[in-house]
Amino acid sequence: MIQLSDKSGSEFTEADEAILVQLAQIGSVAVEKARLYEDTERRRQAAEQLYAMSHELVTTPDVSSLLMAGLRHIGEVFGSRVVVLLPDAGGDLAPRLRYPATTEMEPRDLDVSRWVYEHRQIAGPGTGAFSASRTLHLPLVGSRETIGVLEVAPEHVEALLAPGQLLLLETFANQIALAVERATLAEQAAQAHLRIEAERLRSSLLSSISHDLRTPLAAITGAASSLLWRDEDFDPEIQRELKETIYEEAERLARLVENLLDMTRLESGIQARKEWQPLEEVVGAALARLERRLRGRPVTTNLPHDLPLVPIDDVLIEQVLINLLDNAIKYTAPDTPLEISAIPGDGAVTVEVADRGPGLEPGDQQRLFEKFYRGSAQHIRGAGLGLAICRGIIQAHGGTISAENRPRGGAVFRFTLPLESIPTGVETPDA
Amino acid sequence: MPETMATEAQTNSSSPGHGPSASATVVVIEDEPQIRRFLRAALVSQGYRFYEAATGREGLAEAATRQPDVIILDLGLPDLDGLEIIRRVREWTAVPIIVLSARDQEGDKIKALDLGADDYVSKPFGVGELLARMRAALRHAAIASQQRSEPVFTLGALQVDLMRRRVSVGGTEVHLTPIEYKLLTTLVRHAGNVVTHRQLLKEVWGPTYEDQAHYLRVFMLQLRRKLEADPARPRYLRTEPGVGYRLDAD
Repeated sequence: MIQLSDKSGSEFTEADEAILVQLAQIGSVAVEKARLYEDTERRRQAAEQLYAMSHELVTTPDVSSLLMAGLRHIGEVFGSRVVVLLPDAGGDLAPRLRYPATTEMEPRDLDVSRWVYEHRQIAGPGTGAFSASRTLHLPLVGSRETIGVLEVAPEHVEALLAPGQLLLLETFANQIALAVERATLAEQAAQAHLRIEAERLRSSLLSSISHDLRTPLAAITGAASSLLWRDEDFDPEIQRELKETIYEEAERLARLVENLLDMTRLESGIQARKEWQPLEEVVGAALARLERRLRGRPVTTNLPHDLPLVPIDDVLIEQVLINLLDNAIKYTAPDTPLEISAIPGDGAVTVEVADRGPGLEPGDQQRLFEKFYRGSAQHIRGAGLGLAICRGIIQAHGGTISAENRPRGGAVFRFTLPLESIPTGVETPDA
Repeated sequence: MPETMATEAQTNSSSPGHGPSASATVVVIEDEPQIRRFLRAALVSQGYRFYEAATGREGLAEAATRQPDVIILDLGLPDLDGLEIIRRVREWTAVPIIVLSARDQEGDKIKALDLGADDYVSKPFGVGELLARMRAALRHAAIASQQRSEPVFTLGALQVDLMRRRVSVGGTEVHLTPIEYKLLTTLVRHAGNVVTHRQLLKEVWGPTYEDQAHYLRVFMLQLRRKLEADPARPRYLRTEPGVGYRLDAD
């Protein structure tokens, strides 16, 4: 309303009044227009700010970074410190993230947030609940449940009380809630996928192991029953073959069982009982254990005379060599050569087992040492445990193990044995 | 008692040179009937007089009454600890004891050997391996009872003349240091049977060196380089990882 009085004291004429009314109308339109313009401008700005946040939220995959982005946007747009509270494992609301990171809220704010979480209602200044509080509490309401609570502590409470601001803040909170819900569901789906994957692996392992157990058992049962049933019908050559089958398959079964037991021992946390010793000994012991299966195959050992003693658990390192040699025997032609070498280096000795077989398939190199990984050669029997056991044992020694193809054909498996400090009290033998 | 029974050897069953010299008596203490069954078949056919026991207590009784020439003892018996059985048997007799054990029981094997067992075989084992261990243990016991050994030990190209203290490989004399020689002759005395690190350290260096296994390993390496064509693939001086060494026999 506009009040006018004539300075001269005389009355306004009718014409004056008409002009004034017109002027007033023009003025009010202008004010209205200005208000409309301001409103539009504010809306435009709000829309821009909201868009900026939404854009970041949809491009952020994980829940934590997503929440952090949301807090930062709210903090900047509303000039506030912001905390998000989420229910912990026990279902109790607890602060999860803060913007800025040093933000502390008063203890009574937690009580208000609990109320907000429970009642799914906004609380704080300018709202119908806890209006004396200087902090706004907004529920993060997803499509299925309440996800948590946002605590927004503005620098200037008045700014938040300006028309439309509260509504805008609520829109921000909704956006965040929906994005968090979406990301949580995606994470849960990924976890479920992992569980299914693990389950699939377990059942494929079970089928692979039960196959590996059943095949030799079937061969043994078959051969033994043939010998029992009609042994006089078979000529000595066939009898001998049947007996060999029984022996070889039983040995295969024994190896599989030992591997399974080794894996179990490794997984329950094995302690390598390390003692300083020459590598010649374990290499010799491993070759002796495989003597029968290595028959007719050229095996070269390159162990330099100046090789230092290495701190190893001989029983375990013998197992590593046996598994590597066993693999080489299985995957390469029976007359192709094998090479065992040791190379002293800086702080470690490298041991190599090399063959001239078909080599490794591309992509196998990394996965070979995974438990139950069977490589591309599915036709060769085995449970996929040998190399995983090797890796476990070498890691227990603080070393590394790897595999690669050799330049002129074949594969080489290589492991390192770190030399810690030189043992005390070792003198060179009296010469 | 059904579990305790003797099976007389068939006189015509064993091939000459592979069976025990006279029909030696063996007591098998093993709770698994399948293992006893296959040992009975194998040992009786080799000319052994065979007695068996399914429990430790029965086994002790058999060992005391049958006067065996060799005892085969499973370490995992239901009633008595196998180590306890070795301890008790050793109170009255030096009869060779060969232990049956699982592959990963290094600790138990070493304890059994240090308590006086003569050798071990890891399950699963082939009968040839067991028979070789038994022959070596019987030979060792025979030498010990006669208080004298053959003056010259021969194994392939390796020859150890214990009287003249000379070692040769393929006719060429090899010069050993006093410690290397002592190490070799200790293994010769137990030829065919395993000797633990502790036993070797004690016999060669003396009781104060029992825990210095790396001494032993360095000297063994040196000995191999002098005696073996390829020290990484020893023909004579075999390593038993985690346990000790064995001078191959036969």
